[in-house]
Amino acid sequence: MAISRTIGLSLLLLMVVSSSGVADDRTAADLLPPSTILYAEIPRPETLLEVLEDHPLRERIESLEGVRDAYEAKQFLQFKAAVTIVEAKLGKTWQNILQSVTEDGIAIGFDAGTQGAVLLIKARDEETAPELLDTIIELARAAAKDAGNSDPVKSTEYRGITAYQIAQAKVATLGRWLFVTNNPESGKAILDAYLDKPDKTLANNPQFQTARSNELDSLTAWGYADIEAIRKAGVAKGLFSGKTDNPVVELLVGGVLDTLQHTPYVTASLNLDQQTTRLELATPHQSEWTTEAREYYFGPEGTGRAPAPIKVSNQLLSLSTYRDVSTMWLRAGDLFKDNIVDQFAQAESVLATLFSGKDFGEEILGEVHPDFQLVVVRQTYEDDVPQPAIKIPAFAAVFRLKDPETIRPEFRRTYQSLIGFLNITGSMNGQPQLDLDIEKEDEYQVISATYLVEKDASPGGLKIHYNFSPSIAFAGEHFVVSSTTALAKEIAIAVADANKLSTDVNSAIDLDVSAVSDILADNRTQLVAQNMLSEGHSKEEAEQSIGDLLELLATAKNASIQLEARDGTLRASLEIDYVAD
Amino acid sequence: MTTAAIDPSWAWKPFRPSKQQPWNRARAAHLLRRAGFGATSQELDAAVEQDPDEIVGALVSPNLDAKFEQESEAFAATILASGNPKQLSAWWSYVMLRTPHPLLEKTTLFWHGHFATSAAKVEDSTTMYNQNRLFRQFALGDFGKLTHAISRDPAMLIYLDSVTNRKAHPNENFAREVMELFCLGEGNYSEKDIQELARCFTGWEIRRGKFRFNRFQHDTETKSILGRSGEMPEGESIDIVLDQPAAPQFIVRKLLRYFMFDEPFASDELVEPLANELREHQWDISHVVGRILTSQLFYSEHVIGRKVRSPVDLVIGMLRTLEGSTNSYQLGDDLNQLGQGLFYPPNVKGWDGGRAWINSSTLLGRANVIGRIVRDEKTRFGGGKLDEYFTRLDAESASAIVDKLVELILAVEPAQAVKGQLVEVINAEGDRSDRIAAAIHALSTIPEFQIM
Repeated sequence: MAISRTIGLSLLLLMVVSSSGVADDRTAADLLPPSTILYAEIPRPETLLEVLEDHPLRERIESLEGVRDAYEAKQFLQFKAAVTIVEAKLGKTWQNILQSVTEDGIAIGFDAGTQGAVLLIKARDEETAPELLDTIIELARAAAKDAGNSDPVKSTEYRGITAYQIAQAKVATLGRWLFVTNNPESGKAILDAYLDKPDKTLANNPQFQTARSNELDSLTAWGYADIEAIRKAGVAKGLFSGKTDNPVVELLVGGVLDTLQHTPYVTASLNLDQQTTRLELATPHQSEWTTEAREYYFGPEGTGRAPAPIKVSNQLLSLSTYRDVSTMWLRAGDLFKDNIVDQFAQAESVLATLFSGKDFGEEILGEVHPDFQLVVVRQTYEDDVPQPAIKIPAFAAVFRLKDPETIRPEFRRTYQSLIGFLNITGSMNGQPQLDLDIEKEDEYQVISATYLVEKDASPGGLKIHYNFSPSIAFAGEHFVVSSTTALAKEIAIAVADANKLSTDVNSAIDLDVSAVSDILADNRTQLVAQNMLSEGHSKEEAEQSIGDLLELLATAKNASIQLEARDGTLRASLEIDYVAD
Repeated sequence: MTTAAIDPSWAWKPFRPSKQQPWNRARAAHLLRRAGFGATSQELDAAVEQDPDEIVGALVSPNLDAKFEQESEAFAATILASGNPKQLSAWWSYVMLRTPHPLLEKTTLFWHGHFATSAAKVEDSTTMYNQNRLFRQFALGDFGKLTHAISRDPAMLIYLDSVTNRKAHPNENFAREVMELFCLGEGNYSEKDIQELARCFTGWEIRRGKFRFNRFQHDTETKSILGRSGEMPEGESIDIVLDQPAAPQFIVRKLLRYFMFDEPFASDELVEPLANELREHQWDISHVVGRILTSQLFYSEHVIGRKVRSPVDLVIGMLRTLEGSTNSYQLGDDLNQLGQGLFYPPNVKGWDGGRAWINSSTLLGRANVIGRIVRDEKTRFGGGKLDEYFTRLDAESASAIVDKLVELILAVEPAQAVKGQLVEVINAEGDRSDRIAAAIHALSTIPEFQIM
């Protein structure tokens, strides 16, 4: 039974990994029906195998305790035994077998017509795939016989071609093709297409032709989803409803939800090499698809652009985006369900009190330009100063004021009231108190509040509060709300010096992975303790787990996400840069 | 019903292994179950090679493992940084699972139930942890000193609404509990004694989480408590309470209930000899606990299988005996669900214990918790899966596994038919570890699993 599973596994592995020969230039899309709604392909598996072989992540992943354990697990050892037998039978190394079997690509598709998934692998020649299949079948039968089980492989003929069933998978070879499906009807459709060469295939589908990348050969993998068909089928209704009841999700992806209600398809392109991984999702986009309520997201006619990201020291993350939050606040009634709108109304009431009776959405948020930034940095601590036991990164939001001279006193007064309020409620609960301070320079002003350190505070063990010194800063048109004074001041200086540039994207997120690693290292003791409690590990095991996590993070350098709506296309891209060995 | 039928002179004689009562794995398991949270197969191998007195000697006077203590302190300090008292339940569950000093930990739990204080009211994790350290410091030490220390303990005073205590309006809460629940028990004091004792604690305050003596609010007039009069400066009143003959009897009776049997109620005659010894040994708890654990009575039918397992005994016991480790947060929640939330006793009386642990809903809940834990993907036995663990113990066949489970976990042998059903569960189709887990789950539903 276990051997059968192992053989099934090796088949699946084959499906994920790589051959040429005879004159059959058809692609997997030529064999799949036009009703295929999900499609993905790896055009050059050999290249992918080479990248994976030398990838900096590989060694790190293989050194992880969990992975080392998996390599020693019974199932993996059974798989290795099966691989050895296959290698001996075919007279090639496993690497060579994978390369020759998958040389001309791997593709997977899901057909809405037959409701079946099909995996198509194109080999180098017409011999390798049948040889491999025969060997696997032989192995499965031998294993079943040894275990006293009945023949696990069933065979059937369709139009002169023999197909086999191993567990739930139906497998057949067609010339250079090896295909696997979970549905007999899908299998028949592939066989018919192979034999009949029909006019209507996925490859001939006009929408698919439009979507298909011209640079397919340069990509590691490419995928396509027929969103229109999926939408009509009523799958994932929530995703296509155009609504979310979470204001944070709305702020992040609200505009995308409008596009998903209209777009015909989405494509995904993956590029992978030793230095970088880049994934790009793209979909057709028209500014008319954006509802009036969501104009806050892309701006008028989709012209909203994120400001140039602020750069400060020890930066962990920056988010720069175009969002007209004032309009979003005022449009809450159109965007959210009643219970969320009620919460907005309650918040409005509280904030109006704080802002001297002013309308928060119109008179406060309306005073800032429709863009903002978030900056997160790693905090550093002086050796001779007590440090909080849990070290949290500092973070700040940066806005641009429309009329700084008028609104500045309003914000300053509100901040002072808030600190006073926090001190009163804090003292009622035995919490430390905040001490106000103002620093004025020619180009900026920082108003800060710092927690007074208790006399008997133990060094290295301060409460979590001591991560914060809530501050605001004004520099020209910029208004900074920061969790620490140091960050507020650094941003104030940076924006005062910077040119007022904007990007050509809607939103951009940059993450410095090494800073993430540093923050985790700062909190290593905490992480180890939490790991001991949550995983039941001993201290040594927990140290190993956290060490593995830090090691893994050390392979990545930066990660960035961008969202842009231009030239009739909405693109979201993720790029990860790795540290070279 | 009392233990009047038990002859105290027989009961408190030291247990000496004999042909009729040999020192074997079953008796060693009984000792280590009651004096801790159960023994692993390896620990039983070692225990049967030792003299029972020698084992108890090491348990009551633990040679503290400095590395473990240091790591435990650092671990706790890290947990405290989160400021969340709920994490303390997870921390203590973890400590109980791994401590090299199980009797010390079990006695710490005893004092937590005796001087019950709940984080639900105190809210501050550091304050609760400091009290826990206090219990551990005196767990097997001087009860008098512990009582003096607890009277100034911020967690206790916050819990009993005694953060302020002015001479004009003495707060009687702490004084009442000292008499009723901590030292004497009902019927051994009068309301007047409580009122007078409360006057002694005036000026005892908690400010910013710390004890402070406010001399301006302390009543310096003469008080009269339990037949003695005087100004009774700082702490003297507690000594007067501890001097009462009822005090050592009250404590010994509670210790007997905790370490020996839930029922019957220990008679005065049975309690008296140990109460006298407790007084003679200046309130040294380790002496009395040592006497209990080395007595003839402890290894008799009056004691073996006569205690209902508390949730801690049930869950921590099962895991420790099988060298288990798991998600301690979930473990803390499980104990809470079963009615023994660590740092969260239900009221100032602590946990009732005994039959109160069992009713129709908790019985199902107890089995469900055991079933969940043994199937939890984070639960490991001896660092691996159950089948690997039992293979390591040379218990390959289903019947060998069942015998091992019975030996390690149960105090009373179940019916042969029950063992046969467990063998069938293990021999059924499917992953072997899953089947052993199912057998442990099934075992947890039988009455014998509920007692120890």
